[in-house]
Amino acid sequence: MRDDREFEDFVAVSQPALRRTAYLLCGDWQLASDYVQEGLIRVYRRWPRLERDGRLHAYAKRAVVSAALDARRRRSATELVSDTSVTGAGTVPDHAAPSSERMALLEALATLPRRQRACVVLRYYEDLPVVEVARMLGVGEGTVKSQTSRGLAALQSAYAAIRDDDLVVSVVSRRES
Amino acid sequence: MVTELRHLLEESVQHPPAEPHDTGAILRRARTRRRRHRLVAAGSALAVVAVAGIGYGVVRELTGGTGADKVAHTEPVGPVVHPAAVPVVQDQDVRVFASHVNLNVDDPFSGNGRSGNGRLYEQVTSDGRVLVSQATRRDPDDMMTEYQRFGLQDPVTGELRWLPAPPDARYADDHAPSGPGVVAVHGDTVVWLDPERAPVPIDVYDLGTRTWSHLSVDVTALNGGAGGGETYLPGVAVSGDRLYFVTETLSGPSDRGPLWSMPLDGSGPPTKVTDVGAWGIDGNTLVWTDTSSAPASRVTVRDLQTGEEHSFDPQSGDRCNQLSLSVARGVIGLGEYCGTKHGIRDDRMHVVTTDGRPLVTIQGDGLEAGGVGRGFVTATSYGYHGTPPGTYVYDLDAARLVRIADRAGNVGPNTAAGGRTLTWSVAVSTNDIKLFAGRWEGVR
Repeated sequence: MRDDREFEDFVAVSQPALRRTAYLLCGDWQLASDYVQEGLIRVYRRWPRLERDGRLHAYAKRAVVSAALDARRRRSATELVSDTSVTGAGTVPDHAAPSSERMALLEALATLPRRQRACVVLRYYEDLPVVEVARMLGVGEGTVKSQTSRGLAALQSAYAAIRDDDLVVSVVSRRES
Repeated sequence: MVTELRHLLEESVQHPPAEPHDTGAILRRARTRRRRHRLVAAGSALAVVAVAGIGYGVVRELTGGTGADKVAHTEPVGPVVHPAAVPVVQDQDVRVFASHVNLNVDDPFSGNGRSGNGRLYEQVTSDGRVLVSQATRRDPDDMMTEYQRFGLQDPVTGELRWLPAPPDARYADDHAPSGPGVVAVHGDTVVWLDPERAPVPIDVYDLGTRTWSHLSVDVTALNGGAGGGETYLPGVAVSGDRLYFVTETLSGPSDRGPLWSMPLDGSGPPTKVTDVGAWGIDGNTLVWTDTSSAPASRVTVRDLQTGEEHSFDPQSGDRCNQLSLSVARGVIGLGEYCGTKHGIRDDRMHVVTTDGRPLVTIQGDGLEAGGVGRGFVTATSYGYHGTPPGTYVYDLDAARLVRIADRAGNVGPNTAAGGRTLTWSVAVSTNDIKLFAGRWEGVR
């Protein structure tokens, strides 16, 4: 029997971070929770091997990203972020950044094609290297580079149109700092 | 004004609303999904159901407690064996008649047509053919959708003939997207259903006439309508011409649930049989425990034809959680988790007769109970804390435990061809898994 308690521990530890990533990919906390659930079910099905190989977290992230991308592909409609998804039940006021900035970012993210959005989120939020993003999305490194570049440019353009502000990317990532 | 992207991304996710899916619900859904490939069914004359009951909830913690009695250890009753490195004699104890290697099963983007879960040996039919399922992924961007199809492999020639898909719009070129799990092979009948759809579609295929029939069941209505919450079918079996299944709602209890029965020809509605914990069917014999995911105090055996029943205490003790149940030819296999002592798990397959006589307990750390075949039971060991890993068969006649593979893998008896066939799978390299179908000849 596989150890369900270990799986539960893994869920408890990994679920919040996975959900944040999924939210940036889809712009809806409820959908993000559903994608995370789907990804974790995938992890459970392959638990013994993944655990043995020490690839639980990497596989879980990949499964969640795939679930989010696939759902977006099937809907084929660009989502617009609603107030509810950002400031729904359980949220608290954030004094670090004005809400309008976050809203503008999410609205701008929603204008990106799904793969460009994934590249931007995985590169600049997850701080994953190009090779890892390529592996996660099942595409070549060149594709990741080009999609990230185009996605970033489109994001900056959309953000500027919404906020009349500049969105910049610092040279040093969190991982490197 | 200038805003830094990384900082703003971080800020955007700092205050999420409450998580709607609790860990227990995810675990239960995961176990239900996984169970699809573990569903083993019953024929009318000789059969086994190796379907765990509804106990897919959280395995209760047995190591805690405040009083001394809370950590008391329950020793097995009757003979006890532990996994050991005693290899089986190939082509003597077990005769392999079909095998297949799945390559790169863990690489969803390999694009080689064998990605995803690859093939599975589901059952052996009454005429000795192997029912094969195959799951593939087609879109490198989509690792969630698997396309399944089913076929029959001739053990002599090795020829594999794919079955036509059920006549439904959701199927294409003999594949079903992420759909049904195999439930049963019974005589010339193969039954599929998809426990995650509502209402649950049930497709019945006649191997002789190569024709499909279809029916469905509204399990949500059975559980009291929408107010009953999301409903699952964690356990399914076929016996004779009837389908048996338990229903469970996420919000309901996980240690006991209603068992239903309905005719496969759709001539009548589902009727409730009884409430069960873990359960199994062998022909006309229905066996169930009073609870699952908790210590079981009673095992009940009912003759489905006469209605006669008796029950007994399995003597598992009050510290062993009941996890699974399988039954065949008067032998019951109970999968149990009996707590952790000094960091060592006490996992057991407790084997008793249908009148309650203890036959053997296979005990180990990381042991998973398999099923019961004619004259043998199976188990898998994941190899924790000195318990040797492997896939094991205990020969009831010879009273010996032998290892048919030196790694853990799915294993189950397959009784459709006489009760002595079994299928198992073993990882042969990092990404390759080999499937076997064989006949248990018995330890000489």
